[in-house]
Amino acid sequence: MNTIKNLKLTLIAVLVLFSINSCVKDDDWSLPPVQCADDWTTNMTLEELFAMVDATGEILTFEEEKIIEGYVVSSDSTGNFFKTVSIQNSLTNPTHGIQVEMDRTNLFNNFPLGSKIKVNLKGLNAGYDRGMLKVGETYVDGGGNVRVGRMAEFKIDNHVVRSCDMIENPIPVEFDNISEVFASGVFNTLITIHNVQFADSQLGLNYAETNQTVDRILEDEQGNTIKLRNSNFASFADEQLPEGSGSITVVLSAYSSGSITPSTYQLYIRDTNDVNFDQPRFGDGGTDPEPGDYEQFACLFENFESYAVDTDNFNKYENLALTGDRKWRVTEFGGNKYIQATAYNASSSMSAYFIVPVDFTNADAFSFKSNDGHYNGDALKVYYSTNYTPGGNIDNATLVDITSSFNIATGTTSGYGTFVDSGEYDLSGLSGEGVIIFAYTGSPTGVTTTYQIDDIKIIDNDDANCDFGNGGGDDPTPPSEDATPLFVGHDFEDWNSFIGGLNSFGIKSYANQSTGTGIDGSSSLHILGTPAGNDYVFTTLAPEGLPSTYSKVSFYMKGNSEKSVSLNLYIDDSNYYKFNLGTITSSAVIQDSGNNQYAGTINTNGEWVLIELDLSNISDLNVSNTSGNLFALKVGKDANYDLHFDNFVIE
Amino acid sequence: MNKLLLTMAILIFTTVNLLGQTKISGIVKDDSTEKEIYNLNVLMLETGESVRTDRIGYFQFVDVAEGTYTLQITGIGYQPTERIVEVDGNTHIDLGDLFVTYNPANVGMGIITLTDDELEADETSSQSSAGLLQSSRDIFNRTAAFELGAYWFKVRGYDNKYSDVFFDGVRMNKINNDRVNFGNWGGLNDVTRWPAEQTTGIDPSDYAFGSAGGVTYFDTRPSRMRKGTSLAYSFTNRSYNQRVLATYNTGLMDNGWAIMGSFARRWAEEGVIDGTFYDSWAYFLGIEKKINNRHTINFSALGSPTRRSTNSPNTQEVYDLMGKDYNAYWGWQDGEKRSERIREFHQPLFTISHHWDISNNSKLLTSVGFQFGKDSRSRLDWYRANNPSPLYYRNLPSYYQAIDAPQSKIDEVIYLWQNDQNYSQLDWDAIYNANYSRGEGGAAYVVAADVADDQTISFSSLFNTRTKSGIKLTTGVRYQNTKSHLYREVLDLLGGNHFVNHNSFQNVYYNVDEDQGRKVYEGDKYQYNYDISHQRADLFAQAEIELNKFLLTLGGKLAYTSVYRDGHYRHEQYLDRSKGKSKTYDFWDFGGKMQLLYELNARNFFQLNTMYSTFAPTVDEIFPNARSNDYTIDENNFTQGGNDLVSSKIWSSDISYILRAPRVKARVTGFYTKFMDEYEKNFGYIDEGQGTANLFGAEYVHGIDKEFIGGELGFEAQLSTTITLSAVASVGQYIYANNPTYQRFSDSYSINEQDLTSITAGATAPMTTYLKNYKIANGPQQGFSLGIQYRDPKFWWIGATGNYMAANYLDPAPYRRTSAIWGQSAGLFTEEFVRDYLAQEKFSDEFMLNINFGKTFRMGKYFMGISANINNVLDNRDYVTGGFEQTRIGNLDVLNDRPGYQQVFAPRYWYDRGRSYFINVFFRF
Repeated sequence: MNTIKNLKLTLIAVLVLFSINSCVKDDDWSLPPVQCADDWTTNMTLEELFAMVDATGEILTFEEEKIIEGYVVSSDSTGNFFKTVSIQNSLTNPTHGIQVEMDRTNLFNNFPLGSKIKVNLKGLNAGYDRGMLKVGETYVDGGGNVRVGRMAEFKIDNHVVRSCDMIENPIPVEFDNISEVFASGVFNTLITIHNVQFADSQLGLNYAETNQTVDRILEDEQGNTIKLRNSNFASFADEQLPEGSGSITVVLSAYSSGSITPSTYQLYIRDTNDVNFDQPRFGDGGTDPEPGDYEQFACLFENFESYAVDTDNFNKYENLALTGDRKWRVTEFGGNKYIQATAYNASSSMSAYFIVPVDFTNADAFSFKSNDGHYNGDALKVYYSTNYTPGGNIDNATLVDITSSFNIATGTTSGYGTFVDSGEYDLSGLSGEGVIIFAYTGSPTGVTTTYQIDDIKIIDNDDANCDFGNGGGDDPTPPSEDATPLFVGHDFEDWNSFIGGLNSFGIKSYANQSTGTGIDGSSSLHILGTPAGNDYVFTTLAPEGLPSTYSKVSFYMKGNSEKSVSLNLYIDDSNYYKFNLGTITSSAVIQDSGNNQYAGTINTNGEWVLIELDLSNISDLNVSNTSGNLFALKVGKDANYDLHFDNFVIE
Repeated sequence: MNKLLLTMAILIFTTVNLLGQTKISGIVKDDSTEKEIYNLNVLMLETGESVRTDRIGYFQFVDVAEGTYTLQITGIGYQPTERIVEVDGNTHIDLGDLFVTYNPANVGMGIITLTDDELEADETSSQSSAGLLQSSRDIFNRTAAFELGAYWFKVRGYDNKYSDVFFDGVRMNKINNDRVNFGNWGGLNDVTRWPAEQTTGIDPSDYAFGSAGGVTYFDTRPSRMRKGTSLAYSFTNRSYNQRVLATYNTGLMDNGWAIMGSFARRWAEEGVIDGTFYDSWAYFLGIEKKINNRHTINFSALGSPTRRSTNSPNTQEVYDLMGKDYNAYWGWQDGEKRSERIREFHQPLFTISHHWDISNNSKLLTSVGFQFGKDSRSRLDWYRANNPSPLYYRNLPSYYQAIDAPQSKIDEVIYLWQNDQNYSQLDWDAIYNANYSRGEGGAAYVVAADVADDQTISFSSLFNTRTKSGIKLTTGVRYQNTKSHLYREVLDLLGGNHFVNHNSFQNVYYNVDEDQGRKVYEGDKYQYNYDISHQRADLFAQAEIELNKFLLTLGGKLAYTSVYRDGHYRHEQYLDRSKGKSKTYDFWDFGGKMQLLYELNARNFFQLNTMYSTFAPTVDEIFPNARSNDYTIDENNFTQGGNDLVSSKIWSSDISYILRAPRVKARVTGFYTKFMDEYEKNFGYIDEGQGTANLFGAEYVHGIDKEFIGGELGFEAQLSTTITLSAVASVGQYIYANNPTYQRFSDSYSINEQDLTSITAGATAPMTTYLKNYKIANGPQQGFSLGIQYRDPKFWWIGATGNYMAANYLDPAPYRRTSAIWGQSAGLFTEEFVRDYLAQEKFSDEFMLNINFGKTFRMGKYFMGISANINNVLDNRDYVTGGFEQTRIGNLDVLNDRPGYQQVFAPRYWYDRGRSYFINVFFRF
């Protein structure tokens, strides 16, 4: 057989083999149909549902196929609503609205705004919960009460479906003021309120706090107020509230354990497009300050704690972007707020002036603290000017460069340094009204060093109230002689009795007695190591002889750590106050807070600092049960600690 | 084994008296076709001299001294046959016709068939190199591969990355993980059936220094393959259902050309596992030109465009609910089963090689190779939408148990699982409808693909010579340059309008340099987009030295590897460490190896191997979070200036006793291997707190030492002319030998709290993970096989093998073994509970029976055969082939909060697929 013949035969065989038809599905798929409930017939109106619930006053359980319908007016697309959909019974002038509670996030993918949905109540519950009529499933809460909550996720697809109607956005019912809402607003419907603005107290705040859902107060021209409730999970939570006035479109809701009063009304926006405050504020006429409107400070202590993070609009100070669009803005780290400027990743070169109006005639001294980060060159200059008025034209001003008079943080090429004191600049030779300017000049392709400014002080020696001391503001006062030890072995001189006073968890191995390193050469508690968890280092029992009334706990601390320290003071073994030290570089007074946090760093520069836990609003500590916990010291995980503690006292 | 025989021969040669001078000749024929066979190898064991049969099957040895000689006839597709010849002064011994038996047990079974099943698991390291060894002539390796390998047994427990595979000098191991994608030549059994070389463990190779798991070298010259036409059709119920294979080879023609083409297709509309399909094509073209007796040029091209879907590993809860064939990756669409996870690749390889016989003692083999093509894996991706997988933990009955839902509700969920495929499978309709709901906005769901688009050029040159003093020297140089483009692209918008290039969890843009509103359409890249440039140069030298009764082989290598990443996206979290070229990382590696073979007498041999070598980390190991940034373990905040990114090391030794008696062949081996400074990486969610899965990232463990110690026994006895008994046993202990360092690289860590624009290295501080003495999860550590085969003189056979797999372990999750396990709950659990919780799960030991039978026929010029293999005849479905712990439960706080989460996030397993058959019909002429 010759080659050609062979080849022919092979080719024929190959064709035969491959013609064995086999279809493996390729990647072409046609679009599936729109899923909608053509075959669900609505047989109950929302009005009938309300009547049924109201008739019994109880939570209903449905065993028959009762199908209700409504138009979706809420959306969780921004995260402001959570696992709930509000529906109303009509596109216009709705008379009834309910909440459909579903244990699923991203419900807007299933039930977008303006869709009409149908709910088959069979196997579900309906009833009032905290004032709102809800459809879902019952559960038993911590207090043993049966309540209407969310239906289990696996039930959703079989109980709630979109109708086949097109999306049609409900027309909000319009109200001219807040009292009209109280008079005739329908819960779980979409409404628009005209002529409102955020109350003065809210200005400068964000829609929500970082870790907290909050109520923001809206007011109308008549002085009525209503709460706009915003979730911290909302995508707009960290946006600043608008300052103007105008109209707002919301889902009307309320929160109540019993009857609903105007004070328990809550409004929810879907997103910030619902807020249309494009008019000037009414009432206080709060427009932008004109030149000369600024107060000139002879006495000032500005630590920026009162501003929301990311604020770059300060009523008291002028914040100018001379070149580029970047400004100084409020930033927070480790519980401390300050202003910051950086050209890092800016789109263009930038020049930002933070301008403090000063009454030079009365002011005597000026100082601030600065910090630098990712240093690659100087970018901060400090000027004063006696011929510039905030709001005026800075190009015409005479700026006097006084940068070299200050000690300014520098040289931290990697990460961030610590705040350093500028030293005092004598203003007594100047007079008249003027400004001090923090000028940042940088470029994304040149100097990008980040600068942070905090604790700006202007001191008027003639003003007795204008003495901010070292730390400025709150400074702890040393404990008095007759302060009581907070726990046994509070000075760590007798280690065994200290250990004996701890609860059954004992003490972590990285915390030890250290002799000769305490206050005045005594012994101290030394925490040295890298905790693997957010550890309780130790927890003490209440000792005998604690005072029944008290104002503060004090102790001394020295050293440094990459994370901070959190302290518990116990009411009983399961309830306690949390005190978070945050960033510590000097003595400080600490207030209690909501939960244990370890953010911040400690660096006392080798000095002992005095820490005071303010108990002035606390009166229920465990001072009597000596087998119960009183005090615990906690540290954050995966961070290096090298801290000495001494002399824990309460008074 | 070739080498072993050669070695033995050389040893014997030195002791033979040179008395007379005789010629031995014969003609080799196929015992079924009685046709003369061309190009078989005839080896005179005692002298080491070998000749090839010519076109009429004729061979001869001349100038043979007096003595007794063993002639061994071997060749592709034939049973090795031996013949004893006594030379005592005759001038010519004509042996007449020597018949050899075509070896049908291997026909069509080849190398790839069984590893296909294992490929399913290729997202993990469980892929086996065992399949490579099936054509080995060593009884242990052959059986371990063919019988035990089908059940995920790996010889010595080594990961596939330690096996080097070469095609005409081109190294096929991938740069990202050093593993080989066998699918690159899947189906081309007629090309790959008989590798030019196959070494095991650290045995010396003629072609490369190798690693711990042996070297396989394919020489694609058509003149080396079977001449003629071969057609085969197979029918099976494994990953694919049907296979066709057609090959035509001209053989070496009178004009010096040899041309071979081979085509294959393997496919299944649906495999054994629900909702899996398979569609693989393969082609090969080889063109060889023998220019003269000294020079041969060969060109070859091969590729295997493949599309197939993969299957999900599941928790025991899900298997109990849905059966062992359950697969969560598909759902109904258009009345058909659609899978989200489709692997698609086509990476053709072209080589040109030049074989130059410089002299009778020296050869130079030079080749250049080019390989390119994409390897893509698809999956659903979603943006501000919920995880659509039916396996999502909140869909499981155990979740409702964990949250203390009433039993009626749990029963409802179970009912849905078992009766509603919109619940128990992907709900494509719901996914499309979510996209419809988005309208003109960005889609909620898309099918996206993670693509690696590689281009590799390769050059190698290998020089062989034998010095006058009999030392055989091999030196080789090899250079390989790979550019790999890695990115994610949208394959299907699923009815959505467009997709976005934004991370909703971190609220950051994947590329700040582009328009932040960029709409991503089908075929557009998003999320990550970078190149890896990888260069590797190897220098290899080896000498074989005879020393009386010893044969000593010494080898050494020097290697240089250089790698950098070049990002195309400026990731918002890593502004200065994501776009542009990274630092170049380079590694110098060296190694030495030795083999000492001692011949006690002609039947008893002792062999000692030892190797120490270093290996540069793979690309995956160098850049733990390469999709986002180019940080390495040496440059993060915690080990600044560290020097942890170092080459891995292997120290390996084995010692064997080999018996080669006429009816009994046996090998006993003891081995010890220590791997040092190894790396491991996997991706997953970790709960550090209360069960909210707050972190997604790469779990990265480095500085790992592993110890592999064990023994192998292979035994084969010819009980009669028709019955062969074989037995193999492998007993090992493969453990972590130290407590390595754990770090997690996660985008969840990357934002510096102090300044939202500034970035850390995005990794946790190093922690110790207490893995020492945990078993390596790489298949069963013990395997036993006992087989018997009857081979009838009328050309049919039947065989049965009993296989027992033992000591198979679950892969431990490293984070759980750090001190972070305690969380805040140290005092809340008893030590006993925690010990129990962290104990490594050992799977049950299982027995599996295999049967094979077949027959060959001759019809004039045509030769055909049919064979069948049935694996796991008893349909044992309790055999867990592998599994891993889910990372979700990071510490005891989660369990404290939700004790039931131990079930919800139970380990995921793969089970053996039960009884499987492979029926093959072939036809040759």
